[in-house]
Amino acid sequence: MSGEIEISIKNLNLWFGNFQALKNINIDIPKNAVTALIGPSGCGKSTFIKTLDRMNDLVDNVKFSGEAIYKGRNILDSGTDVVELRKEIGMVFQKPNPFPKSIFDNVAYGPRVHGIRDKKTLHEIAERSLKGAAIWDEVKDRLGESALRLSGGQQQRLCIARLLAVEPDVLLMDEPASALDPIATSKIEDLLHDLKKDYTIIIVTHNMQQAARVSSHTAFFWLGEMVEYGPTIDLFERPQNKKTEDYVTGKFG
Amino acid sequence: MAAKRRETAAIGLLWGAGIATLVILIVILAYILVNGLPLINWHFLTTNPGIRGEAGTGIYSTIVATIAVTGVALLVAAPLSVGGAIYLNEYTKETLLRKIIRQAAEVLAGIPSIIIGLFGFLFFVIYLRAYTGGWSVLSGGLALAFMVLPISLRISEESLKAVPAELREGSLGLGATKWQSITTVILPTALPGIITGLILGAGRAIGETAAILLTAGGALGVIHSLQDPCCPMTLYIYNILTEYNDTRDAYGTAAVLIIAILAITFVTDYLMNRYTKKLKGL
Amino acid sequence: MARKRFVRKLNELRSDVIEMGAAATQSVKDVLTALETSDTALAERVIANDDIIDNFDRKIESQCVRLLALEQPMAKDLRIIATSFKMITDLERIGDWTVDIAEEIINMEKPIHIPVSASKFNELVADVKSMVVDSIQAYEQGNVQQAHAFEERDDRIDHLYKQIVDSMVNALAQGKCSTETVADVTSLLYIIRYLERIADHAVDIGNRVCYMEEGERRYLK
Repeated sequence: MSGEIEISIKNLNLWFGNFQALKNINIDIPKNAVTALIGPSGCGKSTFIKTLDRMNDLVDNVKFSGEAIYKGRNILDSGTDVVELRKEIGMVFQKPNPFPKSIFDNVAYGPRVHGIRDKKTLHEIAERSLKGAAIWDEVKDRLGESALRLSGGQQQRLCIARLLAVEPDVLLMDEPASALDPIATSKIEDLLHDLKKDYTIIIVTHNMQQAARVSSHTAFFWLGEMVEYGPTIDLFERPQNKKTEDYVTGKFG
Repeated sequence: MAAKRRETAAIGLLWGAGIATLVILIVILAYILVNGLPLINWHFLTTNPGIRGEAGTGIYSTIVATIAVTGVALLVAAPLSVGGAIYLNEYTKETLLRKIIRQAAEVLAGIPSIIIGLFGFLFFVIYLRAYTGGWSVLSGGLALAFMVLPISLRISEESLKAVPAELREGSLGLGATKWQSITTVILPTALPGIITGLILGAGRAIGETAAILLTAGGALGVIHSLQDPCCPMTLYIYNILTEYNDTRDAYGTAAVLIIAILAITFVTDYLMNRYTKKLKGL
Repeated sequence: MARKRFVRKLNELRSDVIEMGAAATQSVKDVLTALETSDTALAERVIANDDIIDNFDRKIESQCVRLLALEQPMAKDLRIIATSFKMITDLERIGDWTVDIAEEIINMEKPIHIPVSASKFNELVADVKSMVVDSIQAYEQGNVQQAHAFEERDDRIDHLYKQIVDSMVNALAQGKCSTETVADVTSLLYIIRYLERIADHAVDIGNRVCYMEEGERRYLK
């Protein structure tokens, strides 16, 4: 972890119609580290990360204000090319969502839509990405098979590989392991430890112990506000805010 | 135990209803096929009808005509319905306009075919005579398109809706544009449903009589262009039964029609099944 | 509030630590009384009662491990357990030191006579006693202010300790004592050494209470 900031969010507010889902969020996301977002259901964590890759734009009636400075520009600006943005900031979802195509076609999908046609290049990218997602050995002999034949944990790692293939800087993960069994979960967690050397990762999780295991920084969200943010060990050993203390000790939520 | 007896009685009645439906279908099919199958032979299928539709001639030109009008109908309806469905489902939000368009399609589906035929007559046969050739394949096909459109639009829309949101999010999340997302992920996944919708529409077109009656013309010769008048099989059956004495050929034509529809249905089912299985990786 | 079962177990843990503290405190009081009144029987009881303290040590240690493994405690809950875990060692050592003092008492000539610096000696004894009592109280009440004062008090104890040692060593060097007295003076030197160590452990307890309450690791010495 270099101490550099990858994304700096200032005064982010977001409404779905009349409902304010995010209230004045201010947070600096460190580069090449894992930042965890914890908090009870519905408190805004997923909404927050979906703002960073502008996936919230797809929802009806959404309005937001504030800034998110990434590489010197405000990505919340209406002039932002969101298609380009999503090549740099990508997302992995709670339920693995491989396309109903072959494993290879899944991984090659990103590069292909961005114009790469050369077969050799695509193969190289696919191999590199599948290795990066720690799934190459399991699938290298069956790249032509349908991705839907993989187990849940493998599908999720395939989705990560698919993301790595477009070479983003930031990986957003929305409860990536919550649909997986414990062994698959710990494979994903180990993967995060490797990935963070090269990528900035933000992970939403409702599992506090997971946040404690994988992240260097943690933010606690509650009812749309970011209540506390700091190094993970501080948040869990000596939280400053009483709400944080009550949440991490399991006294509510 | 009165409850148990009532249940048994109910099950019996329901079973009876199901069987009755099956029986009715079988009776109709059997009646047609028993009377019509013997007439079908290579000669029947490859010779043209006699001028007065004498029995013992063929139905070659009617087969061609049916294919032609259905083809025209599909060629017009498919892009409109699939394109329309894509537009409605992917590019608009759930606004009043969308509801109105959908409602309009429903209403169109409910318009009696004779009225479509009447419209077709006035518009395609008379008004656009210069382009359609008056009574012609083109007029017939265009009128049929109106009947195919609502079905295939609705089914295409449902198929697109059925594509899970996660796939859309997944492809957009990788930096695909909306159109790329549609062509590379959403359409291929929705394809079985869309094609089934088109085939259902085609089935309706093949079997349509009233609209054809008022637009196709009824000429028995083999068509040379889309502007020639024609006589699809359904119209031919009608003509035989209303004008000629010997009605045997009607059965033969009906048999061919039914077999064709059954064949299309089964083949489409099979192909779409295989495609879907391939998508799911089974 | 959620986790009622866990909260109850945590409270049981704290009660046990306080009870262990009470036992250690009692040993300290008793042994100092035995010293004052030359009560050999009392000294022997102190030695026997050390088993109680050792049993608490084992019981509480395994309670702590259990809670860590089964309950995934965080924040203050975690700090309470970590503090208790370490504190029982301090209490167990205090118990051991009182046993050592008791053994010296048993070996000494009765009635026990403090040759020099009697007033300073009594001051030292009183200070150590009150510091032990206060350290357990600080834990019980979560009283950080009290704990912060320990540093100063320990400095005073160290100062007293040095003064007493100096005057006793002088008395020995000047040959002012008979043979029996030399042996007793040596025992007294040991005893006050043990008392100084007991005070150090009380300071450690104070440190741990600060960590438990505030989350910062501060070292009072």
